[in-house]
Amino acid sequence: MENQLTLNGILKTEYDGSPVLGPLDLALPKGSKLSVLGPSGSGKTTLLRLIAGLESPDKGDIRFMGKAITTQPPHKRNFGLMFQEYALFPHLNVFQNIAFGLKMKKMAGAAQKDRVEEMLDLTGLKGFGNRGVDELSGGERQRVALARTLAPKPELLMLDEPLSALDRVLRKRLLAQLTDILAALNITTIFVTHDHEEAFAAGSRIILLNKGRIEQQGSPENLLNYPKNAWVKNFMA
Amino acid sequence: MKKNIYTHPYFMAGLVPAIFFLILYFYPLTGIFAKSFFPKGKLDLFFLDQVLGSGRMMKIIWFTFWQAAVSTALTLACALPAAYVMANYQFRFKKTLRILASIPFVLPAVVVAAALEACVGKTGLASGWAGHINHPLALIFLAHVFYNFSVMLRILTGYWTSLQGEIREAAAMLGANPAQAFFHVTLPLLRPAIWAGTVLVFIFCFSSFGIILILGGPGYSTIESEIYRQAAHLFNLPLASFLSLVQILFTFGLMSLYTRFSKKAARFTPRAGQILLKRPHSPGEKTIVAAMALFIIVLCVIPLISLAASSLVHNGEICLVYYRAIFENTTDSVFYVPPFQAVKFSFIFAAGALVVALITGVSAALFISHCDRKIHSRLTPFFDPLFMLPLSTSAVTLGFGIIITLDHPPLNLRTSPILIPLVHALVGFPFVLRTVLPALRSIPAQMGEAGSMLGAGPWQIFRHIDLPLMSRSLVASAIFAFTISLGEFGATIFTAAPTTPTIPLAIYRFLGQPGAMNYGQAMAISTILMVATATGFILIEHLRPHNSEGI
Amino acid sequence: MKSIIACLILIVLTSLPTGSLAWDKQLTLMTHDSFSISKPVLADFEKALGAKVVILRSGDAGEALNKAILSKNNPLADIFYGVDNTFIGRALEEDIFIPYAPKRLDSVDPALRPGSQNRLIPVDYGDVCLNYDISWFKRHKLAAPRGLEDLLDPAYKGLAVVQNPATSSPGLAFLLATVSRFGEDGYIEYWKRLKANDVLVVNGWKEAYWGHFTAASKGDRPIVVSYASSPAAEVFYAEIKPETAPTGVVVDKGSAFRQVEYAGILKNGRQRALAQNAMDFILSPRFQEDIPLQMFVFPANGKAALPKVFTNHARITDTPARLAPEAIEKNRDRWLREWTEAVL
Repeated sequence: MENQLTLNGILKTEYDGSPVLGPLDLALPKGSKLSVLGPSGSGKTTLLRLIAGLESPDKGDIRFMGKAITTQPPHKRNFGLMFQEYALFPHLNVFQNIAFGLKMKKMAGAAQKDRVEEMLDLTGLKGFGNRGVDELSGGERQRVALARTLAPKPELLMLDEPLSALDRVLRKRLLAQLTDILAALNITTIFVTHDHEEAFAAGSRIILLNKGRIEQQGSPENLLNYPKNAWVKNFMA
Repeated sequence: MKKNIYTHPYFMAGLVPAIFFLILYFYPLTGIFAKSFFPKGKLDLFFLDQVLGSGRMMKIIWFTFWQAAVSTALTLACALPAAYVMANYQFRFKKTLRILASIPFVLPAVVVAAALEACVGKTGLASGWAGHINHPLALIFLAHVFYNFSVMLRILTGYWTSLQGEIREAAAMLGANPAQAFFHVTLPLLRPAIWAGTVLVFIFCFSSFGIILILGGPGYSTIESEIYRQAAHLFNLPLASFLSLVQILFTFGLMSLYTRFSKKAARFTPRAGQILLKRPHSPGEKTIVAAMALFIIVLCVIPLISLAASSLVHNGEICLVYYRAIFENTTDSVFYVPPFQAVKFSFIFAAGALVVALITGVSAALFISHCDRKIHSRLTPFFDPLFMLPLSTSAVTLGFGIIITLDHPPLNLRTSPILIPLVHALVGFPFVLRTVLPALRSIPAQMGEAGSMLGAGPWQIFRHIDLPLMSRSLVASAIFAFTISLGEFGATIFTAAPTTPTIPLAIYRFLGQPGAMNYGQAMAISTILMVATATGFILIEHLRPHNSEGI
Repeated sequence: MKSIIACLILIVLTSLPTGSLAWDKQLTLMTHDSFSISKPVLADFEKALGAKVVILRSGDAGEALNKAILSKNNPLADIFYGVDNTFIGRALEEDIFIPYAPKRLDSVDPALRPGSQNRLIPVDYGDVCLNYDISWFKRHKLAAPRGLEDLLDPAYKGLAVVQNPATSSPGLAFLLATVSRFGEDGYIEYWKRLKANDVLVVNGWKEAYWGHFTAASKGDRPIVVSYASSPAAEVFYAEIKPETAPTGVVVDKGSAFRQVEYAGILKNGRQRALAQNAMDFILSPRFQEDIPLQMFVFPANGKAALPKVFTNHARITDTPARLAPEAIEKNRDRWLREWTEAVL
């Protein structure tokens, strides 16, 4: 199987039947970096939540490595999701937050420590282990959230607008750091954003969503230079 | 700069509740304590022998603790699963259920006793097919759970709901199955709320008066009912005051714990936002939700329905004879005060209590939150539990204290009709405080600062910024104070004059007379009271913001 | 919001009782919850005084007296009605009454007078004793009890209901009857055996009589502590007036305790002259003749006429149990403590 993740005929509707997302199909090879771009309300977060298993599609199926996972609960999927507001556990310190996924995997204490230290190093947070979550600045929290998501070595990584909670200067700096880290890792990554600059930096393939449907997909140059319709052209401007 | 902190109007606002408390609480208490401990001018501690030497007294103290502990444990056991359902799922009739579960809390002890009697008593509805409960201890526990279930439920649900959303999902994404997510994430975050609820319900059960008196009979006595016996009947004031003092000190300690826990729990609450709960999908989920709804109905609603039912059944047929009788003086007794007059006075007093409780409560909230933010002395966490004291102080002690202290001008309140609304305000004030304070605390400090940058003085900041932002909690707490006043019984017995009865007193009087007619009328008035409080709570539910702390 | 508050304040202010009295003077009478007076007599009372009469019912006899004592520097009322002989020691010791000898005092049986320099005047009396349901005993083919000792008989197990002497004045009177009968050393033994014989203790007379007594409720206890005049009440309130009373009383051999009620003028009251007139009225035939059917006890004024139902059905004994008031005052608290430890 060449494609690691496939979505077939995925459809998600509201209670009154109006579609939120889909019907759409998607195929991701292993190691690919996908950016999902679109205005707010276009269904980008819903797409992530469906892949993560936090919501179920009304129609269609999802396959990973050939196996159907449509009904598999999120905690069994081993996918990583970095939330827009980070969702750090307030009662645990930085170390414990990052170690959480490892604890769930029943990793041994010493191994946990090593891995956490590795993650702290990777995100430039060396020595932060004992800090409480409420003592961190915005940028620091974002990095802890990233470290926590990466620590249990997920097979698929999803990032839901990971930079939107930060100010512009920080955003630029952290985008560079983030893309460096992601480039070094060989994990299939889905990066969701409404900012096309970020989308282009993070992904080699872009999907442009509008009102739940894929308006266009392709490489960054493809979208910039060959917009399919006026809407795409406007959005990219 | 420091000077400004202490002359700030919010700090000055603290004078309002301070004076209120001084006059209506500390002054009477000091009066009765002075009279008890210094009967003839010098300190006399002979009663200590009586307490420490008496096996019975020790048994009473022990019983007070363990019945409170068991009642609290039972309440927690009932409320925790219910909170789980309420916090996680959205379903039809959820609001209605919440309203119905809240009604028991403000009903006077007489009505609760009557409701339980109507339901599980010897002649109750359930007696035909489910047998009846006769043992006083079982009735006491049942009554306590009935009373306090909604308090615990509110506290737990409030915090649990705000823990939904991303934090739980993050745990799932990191590989935690639902059980692990509960134990490692939800439970630790919920723990301060559980402790807060437990401590508060324990205090209520510890100082429970009417329930023990009416359902327990002479065989079961707690510190509170013993205070009543010693003071009112045996006239052993020193002993009564000593027990009262011990009770106050003990509950003050517990209250400090409570305020600490609720503050801690509030800290962990993520930003308040619209949290959408899912509807139950799988058959398993639907069963759980349905079972919980059924449980709440059986626990809280059925006794209330039994009460209402017994007010409508006369000689085996449904009719309104009791309600009509409320407006007539059938016994031609000289002491007859038309029940609808009791209703009228109750509403008037409740309106007065509302105003006073609101003013003092808001002032206290302003004072405390101001101290929190600007003054970091060790004394400031002292005021919060202090203001909560009336919740658990013996009504007898207070009543007696009022008799001997508030009897000469300028504080000649003893015979004045405004005494009752003031006393009711004293009882309702802690609830106003607990409702308004979190709302006030959630207003970011920068709002006021922005206002002053734009030229607003402290009073304008209050009027145009803080007050509108608090308005929902203000209305909710006003309604709360109103309904509490309607059902207040303990303090009213000691302070009410015969010309101005209240609904609970009228019920008590009717229940004290024999015959189906009197019983029926008592049930009818109780039903009116229930409907009034239900209406109040419906209004509160519509105004309550989500994720709000506390009672 | 502001308008709502304004409305509420307006409602409160305009609804407070402004009390436009028909009379411009007022006499307050403080008493216990069992006090009762008929409307016509109350009207005559007010006419005789030329003032409004406000009756302050303040709990049971002990409770009301305690409130009066507590407020003695600034009393809640002008006169107090309902000090009974079990509490008279405390009332006199606390010195809350002033002497006054009302008219017609000589119509009162000297045996009832407490010798307190007329600070307290006897107003009514009755005997506290066991009552039993005649038809219940007939139906169960059991002999009705004749004396206090009978209650210890196994045949009478679980048949009696009594009141807690700490919270009920008939309960206290009954306790004193047992003290008088069995002596200070023997009464506790009696009560222990009574407890073993499954006696039910409740807090008040109403609860006992109208809650558990078979003749007056759906309860299951055919023996209750009540008054020797209660049978008269049963006849009076019956829908069809029976020939004989449905309940009987146990009054022989000192099983009944004579309870006398007193009234007095409170010291520091504000309406001295009115209070004196009120005491006169209370001993007058008009008031005294109202007492039997309102409170079901006997009037202290020997010359007052008794209603037929009383002469036929109410009992009063010649040999009541007696204890000296000083003895009661000295030992009451101790006896209550001992009783509570033994029975509850």
